[in-house]
Formats: sequence, C-alpha cells, structure tokens
Amino acid sequence: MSVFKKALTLLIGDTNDLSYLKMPKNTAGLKKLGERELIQLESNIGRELFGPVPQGHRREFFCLDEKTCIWYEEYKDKDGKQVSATTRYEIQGDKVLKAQEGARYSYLEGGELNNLLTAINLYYERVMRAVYHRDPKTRQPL
Amino acid sequence: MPGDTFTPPRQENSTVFDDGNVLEFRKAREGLRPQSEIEAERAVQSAYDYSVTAESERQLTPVEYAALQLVELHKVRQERMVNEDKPFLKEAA
Repeated sequence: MSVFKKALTLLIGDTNDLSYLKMPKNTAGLKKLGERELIQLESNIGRELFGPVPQGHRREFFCLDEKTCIWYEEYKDKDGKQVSATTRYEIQGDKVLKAQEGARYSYLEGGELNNLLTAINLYYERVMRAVYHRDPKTRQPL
Repeated sequence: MPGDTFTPPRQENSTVFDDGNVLEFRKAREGLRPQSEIEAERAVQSAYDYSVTAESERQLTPVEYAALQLVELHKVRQERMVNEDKPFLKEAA
C-alpha cells in the first residue's frame, strides 16, 4: 500500500472507490473547441448579416485570420448544376483587396467597401457577444 | 538605582529584534490593505486603460478600425481554441 493511500485511508476510511475525486471531463462550461468549430459558430452569425439566405443556397462568412475574411456561396443554377464562389477579402494597410477565383483581384471602393466594413463591424459585435461572451467595447468577459 | 540600566523608550509602532532589525507595525498594516480598496484601484486603472484605447481607436480610419476588430477577434479565438491542424482553411483561402 502506498504512503499516499495509507494517509488517505486514515483520513477518509474506505479508499476502494475514489472515482469521486476525479475531475469531470469536458463539462459544458469548460469545453474547449477547435478552430474549425469556432469558425463554424462564427459563420453561423456571419451568414445572417447579409439578410436571409435564399432557399437552396449555402452561405458562409467568417474571419479567417487577423487580416482575412471569407465569403463562400454555393447554390444550384437553372440547369441544376452546382455553382460555388469563394471571395477573399484581405486588409492591406488602409485598403481592402478582393480576390476571387480566376485570379481576379481588385481593391474595394465606395459602397462595396462600406458594406464590407459594416459587415465586419456587425460580425465583431455579435461574435464577441454570442460566441466568446465578451463585451465588444471593453473586451472583458460578460 | 534608577539609571543603572538603560531602558529604551517604548515605541508603539515598532519593535527592535535582537539582530537589530526593526519591524514597523504601521507600515506592515499599510501592506495589508483591504481587498475592496485594491479592487477599486484596479477598476480605476482598467477604466483609464480603456479610455486610452478608445481615444487611440478614434484616430483610426474605418479600414484600420475593421482591421483592429479582426485582430481582437483572432486573439480571442486563439485563447479559446485547442491546437489542431487546419488544412480545410488552406483550401478555403
């Protein structure tokens, strides 16, 4: 019998069932999520920022890293063919580069730029509150 | 007779040990400040830090402000997540 077990027996008597001393695994409040799951949670909010998603469409909008946002849209066209489009918005200093498939690049301007900035702002506010339970202004836990 | 032995005057706020060290009770008491006082001081400091941050954010352009928000989000996400490979993100990008 180990010294620890002897000491424990002296203190609490029966040491056969010590299961109650173990820490619970993955309790809901303490559960850690991977980046994939967190981005999915964020995207659930992000996709709703641009109004209701049309029937048969799949939309994702999320912040990938410190400088990049991704817009993904998938739907079937008139012929029933699956169509998908991914647009990457990359913040470069005081400009936003829009990159689409087929090596199409352009810097956002005017209304399109304002719409994206508004979307990022809303995304930040809602994700901070709903996913991370932080005050968006102070960044302190709610 | 009085005066044969020197008796140091009694000091309310300190005591002298044999090795010459002096323990000052008044200073020790100041070290034991109430928790509420310490928390109030921290709250003031936090409010000050926040006002400094808010002031600096007001100087940013809308794009820089959005960039700051993305940085904050990314930071908070990193704190929450466990490490895992993210090959699907490379595909998306």
